[in-house]
Amino acid sequence: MGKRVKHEKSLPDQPVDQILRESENRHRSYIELSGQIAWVTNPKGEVVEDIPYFRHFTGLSYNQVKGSGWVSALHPDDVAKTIEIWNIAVSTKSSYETEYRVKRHDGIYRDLLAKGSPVFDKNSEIMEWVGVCTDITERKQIEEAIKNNEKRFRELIESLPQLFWTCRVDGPCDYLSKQWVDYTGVPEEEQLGYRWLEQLHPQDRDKTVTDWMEKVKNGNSFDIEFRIRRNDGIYHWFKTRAVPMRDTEGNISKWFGSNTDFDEIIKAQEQLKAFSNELEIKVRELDNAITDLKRSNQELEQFAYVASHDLQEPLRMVSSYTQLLERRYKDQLDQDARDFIFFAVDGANRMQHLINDLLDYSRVTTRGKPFVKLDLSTVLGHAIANLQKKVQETGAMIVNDDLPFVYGDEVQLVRVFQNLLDNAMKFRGADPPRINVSAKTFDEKIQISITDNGIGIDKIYSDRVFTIFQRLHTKIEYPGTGIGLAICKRTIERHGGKIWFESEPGKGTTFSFTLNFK
Amino acid sequence: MEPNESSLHPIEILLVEDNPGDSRLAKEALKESKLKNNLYVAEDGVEAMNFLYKTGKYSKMPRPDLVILDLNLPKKDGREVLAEIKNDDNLKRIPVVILTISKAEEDILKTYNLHANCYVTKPLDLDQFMKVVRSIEDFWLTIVKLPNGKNE
Amino acid sequence: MSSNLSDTIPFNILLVEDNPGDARLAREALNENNINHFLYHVEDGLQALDFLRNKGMYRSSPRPDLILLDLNLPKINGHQVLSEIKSDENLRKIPVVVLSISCSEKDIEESYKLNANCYVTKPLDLNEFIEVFGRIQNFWLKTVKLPS
Repeated sequence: MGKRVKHEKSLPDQPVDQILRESENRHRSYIELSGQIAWVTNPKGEVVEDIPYFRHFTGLSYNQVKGSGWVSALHPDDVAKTIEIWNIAVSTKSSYETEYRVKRHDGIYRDLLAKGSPVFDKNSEIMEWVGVCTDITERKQIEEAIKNNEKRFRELIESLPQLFWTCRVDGPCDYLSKQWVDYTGVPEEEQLGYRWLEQLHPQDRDKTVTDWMEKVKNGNSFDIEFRIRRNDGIYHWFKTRAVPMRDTEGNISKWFGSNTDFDEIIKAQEQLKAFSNELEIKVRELDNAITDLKRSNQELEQFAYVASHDLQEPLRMVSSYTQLLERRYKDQLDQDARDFIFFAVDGANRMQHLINDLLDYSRVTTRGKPFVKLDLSTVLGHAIANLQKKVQETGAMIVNDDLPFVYGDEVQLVRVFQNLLDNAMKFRGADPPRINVSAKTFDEKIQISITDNGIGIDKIYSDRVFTIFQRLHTKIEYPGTGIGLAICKRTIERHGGKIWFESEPGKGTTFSFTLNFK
Repeated sequence: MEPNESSLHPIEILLVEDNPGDSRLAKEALKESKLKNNLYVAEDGVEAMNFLYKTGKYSKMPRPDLVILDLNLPKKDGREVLAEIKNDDNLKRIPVVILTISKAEEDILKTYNLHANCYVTKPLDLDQFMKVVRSIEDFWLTIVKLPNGKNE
Repeated sequence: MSSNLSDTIPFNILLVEDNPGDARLAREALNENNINHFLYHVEDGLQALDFLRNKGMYRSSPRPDLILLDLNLPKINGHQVLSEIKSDENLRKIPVVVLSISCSEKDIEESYKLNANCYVTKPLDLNEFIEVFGRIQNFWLKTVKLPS
């Protein structure tokens, strides 16, 4: 509050110094209240009157500050500048403002903001200089700290690979990091405001602006993607993340963002999509191929079936009527006639068997069933059961190892075993057939071997044996059309395996074939 | 014999017969068949339909390849069973051999009209009965081609 | 086991078969058995239906006791004939034995679905052929009771 100065109407005969003193007191009070350091000098800048506030601050005596002594309170580095400014002020007779450091009474230099004004007399000559200094040390420290922070902040930002920017709340960009500038190759000044949009891909500009305007209204962090032109002219996709900076009242003071190059990611995504499309196409092609294969299999089956039937019918006529002839006219026929009839009928019958065999052969694939897990012991059992009669007739003895599980077509594999066992018994030697069925396990395959003690096969027939209709004996010696092994081979090959034999003529034969576990 | 479905899967026969003596004889006769077969016996019309529809305890039973059906059954009459079978899209193709005592014209006519596949009268004589069952088996299992290709 | 009556009154068998060779074979095969019968033969499905319905030149043809039906027929195929017979109130009770060289699943299923009484494939071998016809005759004309 200060002192209450009673204002009394001055009497004409009041002494002048009393009036002056009262005025001085009032001024002093004002200055005291304001906390400023007031001073006064003569027109030359010399202290000729006591400057108590200055002296209180600096702890100097009047003798030390009078004249130009006050300059000694200044920081030596600031003296020259201060004098220069002072000289200019004097010559221009105008107020001045400057900052200098002054040593306080405790020896610490404080930053002061000095303002000085000339006081003119009635002739417009400078009577004296008056001034006020304000201790702005705290303020300067804060400013310094802020500047340091900003510097550190900027250093941090510019040490990261991302491109940083800040924008004012109303929109225009006011800072672009060094990275941004280096990346685009365009100086910061040319990009501030809204000019940074020019670095974006033309197709992305409008969208970015629209997107931005919308999201900014929200007040939440958000992402936008756009292409930025690199200094070499190539555009790269960047993802920008904008974050609002709020003041102490929670209002947004600035938008702050970072851009990350995710061109690689976009490119990878595009490649992935392209691959995925390619894959889809390939899968569709595969599907089509499978459909085609199915259809072609069906067509083959149909063809084989129709062909066999169309071929059978005339054969039946030949065979049946020739037999009827024989039946009906048996008594009227001589031996020659009967022989002729026999050959005719026999020929037709064999033709029928061949046609059936061909049909069977084609059906290995056209009627092949999907593979399932099978117990080979069961499969072998079925085959032996089907051959019961022959086993009894020939006195055959069949022994087998434990047989593993495989993947296959049950009916077809029973047939393979049956054919091989049948052959083993058919082509027996003088002794009753002794047949051994064994299994060997490998990594993903198993090998089955069927060994007999029959007449054997000469090595020179290795290829012929599996060829369709190739027989090694006359049909009188050993009946059969010669399709059994060809069907076995086709079946095993359908199962992804191989079939072969080893033999010693006169001793016996071992037929081996491989099948898969999976 | 070339391996085919039947050598791996026997023929399934459902005999619907309430007389245990008759079903036992039928079983014996069918055992002698050249073709592997399984005989299931249902003793009344309701059990027969449950077997065919695979309800309840019959859920794991196979579809019969042949049904031998007596007309006079408890709970549900054989004529009703026949009508139900031949009206069902899935069951209608199963051959149904009527094997029953009745010689009545109207029974014969009615069952043929209901699409019974054939009608055979049960002889009173036991030997004759076995013979009849064997000729049914002989014809239907070896001569006839059944649907499902089990005796191709 | 069968009534004495059937031994004296001949059975009427209608054979629907377009192949003359097969028709003749059937005739011969049926004759080999000692079952008294008359064999009527038509060569296509339309004739068969006329015969069964006593139309045109078949005005006075007898009702057959058994129909042997080949599937492979000209004009209208065997399945269509079968379907017509089995949906006709008057004709459906007549047993129809489908005879075919085909052993395709589809043909067999379709025939049973259309209420064929049974399906038999024609054997290739003459002896078997004769045997099959014999068994058909024995079963249908002796063992089975036919509607009158």
